[in-house]
Amino acid sequence: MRCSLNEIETSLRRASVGVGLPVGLAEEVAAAGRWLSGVGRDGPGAALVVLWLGAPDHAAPVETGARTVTLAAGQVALNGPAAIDFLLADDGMRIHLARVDAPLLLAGMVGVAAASHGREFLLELTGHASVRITGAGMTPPDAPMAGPCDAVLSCVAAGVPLTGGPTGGANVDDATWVEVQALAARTYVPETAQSRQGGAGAGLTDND
Amino acid sequence: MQATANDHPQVPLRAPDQVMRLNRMGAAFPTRLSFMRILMRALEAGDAKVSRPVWDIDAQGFGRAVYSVALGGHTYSLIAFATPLADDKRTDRVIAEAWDASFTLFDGIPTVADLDRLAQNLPRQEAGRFRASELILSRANKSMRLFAHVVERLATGQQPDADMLGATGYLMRTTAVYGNGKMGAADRARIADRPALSAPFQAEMLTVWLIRGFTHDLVEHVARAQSPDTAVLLSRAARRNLGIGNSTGLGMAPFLTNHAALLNNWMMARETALARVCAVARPTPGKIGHARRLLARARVHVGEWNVPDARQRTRIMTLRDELESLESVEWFADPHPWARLRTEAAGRSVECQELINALLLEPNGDLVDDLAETMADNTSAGVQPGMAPGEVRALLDANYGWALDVDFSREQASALFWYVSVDKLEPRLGRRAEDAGADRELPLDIARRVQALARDLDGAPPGQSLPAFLLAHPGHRYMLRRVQISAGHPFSEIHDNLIAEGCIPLDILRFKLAFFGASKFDPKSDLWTRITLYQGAPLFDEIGQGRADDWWLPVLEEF
Repeated sequence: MRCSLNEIETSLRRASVGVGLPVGLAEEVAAAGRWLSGVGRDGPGAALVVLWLGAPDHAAPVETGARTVTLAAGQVALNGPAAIDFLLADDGMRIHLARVDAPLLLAGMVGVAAASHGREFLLELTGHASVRITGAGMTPPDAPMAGPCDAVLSCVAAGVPLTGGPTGGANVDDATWVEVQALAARTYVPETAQSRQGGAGAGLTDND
Repeated sequence: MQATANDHPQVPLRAPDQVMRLNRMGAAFPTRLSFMRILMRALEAGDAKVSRPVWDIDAQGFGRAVYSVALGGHTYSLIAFATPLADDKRTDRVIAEAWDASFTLFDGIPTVADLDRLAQNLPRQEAGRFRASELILSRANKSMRLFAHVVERLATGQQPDADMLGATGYLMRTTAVYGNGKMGAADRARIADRPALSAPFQAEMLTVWLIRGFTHDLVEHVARAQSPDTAVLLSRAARRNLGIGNSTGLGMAPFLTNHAALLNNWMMARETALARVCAVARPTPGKIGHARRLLARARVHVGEWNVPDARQRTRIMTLRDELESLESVEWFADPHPWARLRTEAAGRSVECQELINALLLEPNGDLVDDLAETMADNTSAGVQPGMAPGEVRALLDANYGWALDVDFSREQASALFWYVSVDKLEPRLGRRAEDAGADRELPLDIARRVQALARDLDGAPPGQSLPAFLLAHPGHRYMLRRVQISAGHPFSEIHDNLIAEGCIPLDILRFKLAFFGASKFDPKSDLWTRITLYQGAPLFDEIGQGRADDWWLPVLEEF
């Protein structure tokens, strides 16, 4: 089905919260899913890989070297934003991520960061071709990114013009969308007669 | 006195801790920077003409219609479907499943195939699907009594009862106006850079203005169908007196919380406008005369503002007395009339203060209208990880004192929670001690999150970087991003605890609705309000006649 990018982002945010991610990380997953959809990749599908795993229950150990940061195996929902945080704090760093469970979603997170910070990043994935990512998209655009794999993230350019977002919506696989909505529904509160009557305004009929 | 980059002197802006309090936000009035006003000026500047290429409405008032208007180099069409509705199905709640009318603002001119497709989907609203050609989705219900009355009167060759018309103020009221990709419709990015649509909610405001005209045409059509030999049209004055109603519920509260930078930009524009006006020590006699006329108009407008809600009625009555008392103050003769008027207002109620602040902008379009261009926000601010945790902590002290002062050891401080109901995803407000669902509450508990963040920042190892802090405390990412936004956006937060006992959501609703340009707030409870949009605004054929910008706090015209 055809979805707007805002629908995709909103649904993924709710789904992420629904599996237990804190809202800040849910926003990162959702924005990444939106960005991927906008550049023609399967954003909701990439997010589901992470959402199936549920919320990370611990932070991955991190080792810092002179110009490197190494994040041990952990979920992209947590490691992805962390890796980007370390890199944006110091453009000259190389961020190593072990056993990335959802490299496509990681690429989406990198794309969001590239768009909002005017950067070009290089994402090197073991067993795959490297991918250059700006806010406008990735090169090559259809690079395969199957996980788990190790990754290295670095910044190759700054001052890249900030990009506006795509505007046309995206096609989402029906089954994927159903799964996302089912996870999002975990954030909805079941109806009661009391909440129906008093939880919001306006009457149950308005004929005046 | 500060000189700004655009050479407009200004006095210091009012402090966020003053203007971002709910009691003051809940006393907001529309200004010339309200979104409807911005749109009207754009329509006037473009000498926009509205046509009606489709009118396929039956004698009972059901069918389809299309209105088209060119604006900023694009053509937009309101597509309307009027459909039968049983009385027991008519509700303004989000949980409604049918409406008297449904609408979309279409990007361009629809084909018959578009109309047929939309005929299947638009009346179903959330149960339908839409395309990127649909920019805005909306629905409305009739004001049953008034609609029937107006039909009856027009059919017999008479104008409607002026008092009855004025008391309601609209033939239909919208119960939702959706943009930004709802149900597959266009993302806002599609139109964000278009001339005349870049300011906030312009597409929504255009939709509502066109719906207003549709309601006028519809009631005349039904009357004519009933009695073709005797029916008359609404008088021009009656048409102007009829705006579009709206029932506004809780969804606006999560919206403002979710769009911190946008909220800041609205307030920054309004407060900067006020600061520019107040920097003018000696306004021209013409502007002073204009302000005096507006004050007199405001008295009449407030005199026509009658609502059943006891709290608001009391505030209105107080405001009436205060505006009357201002009549005897010769503020206009003061060497510094704007300052004198504000000083007088400062000794009166918050409603009076905010009305006067809004009034002061009206004669000063030359000083403030350019600020409309600053009110949108198309950014998406992520975490700025280069900031040291100590800097974040300092921002908390500087910008979140209101939150740090809340005593969460008291149950009342977290008595409420905001959530989304499974029933059509309606936003609702629950009581933590009584209602289920607090485990799924929405993140409107800003004050509580601020305190949790402060505690963990205070306990962070010395020298820890922000990335390391966030890796150890991923739950703070959301609040930390907001704190960083506050650094350059002083008006980004509501300075009140939104989960506290006594939080009145109505204050948030009125604030946002005032920015839309709404007036005559008619609170029905603490959770929702009815308002009137575009009452007194120019009609379709009045654009280009030079009166598109003089309808602040309109008064009912006699007819």
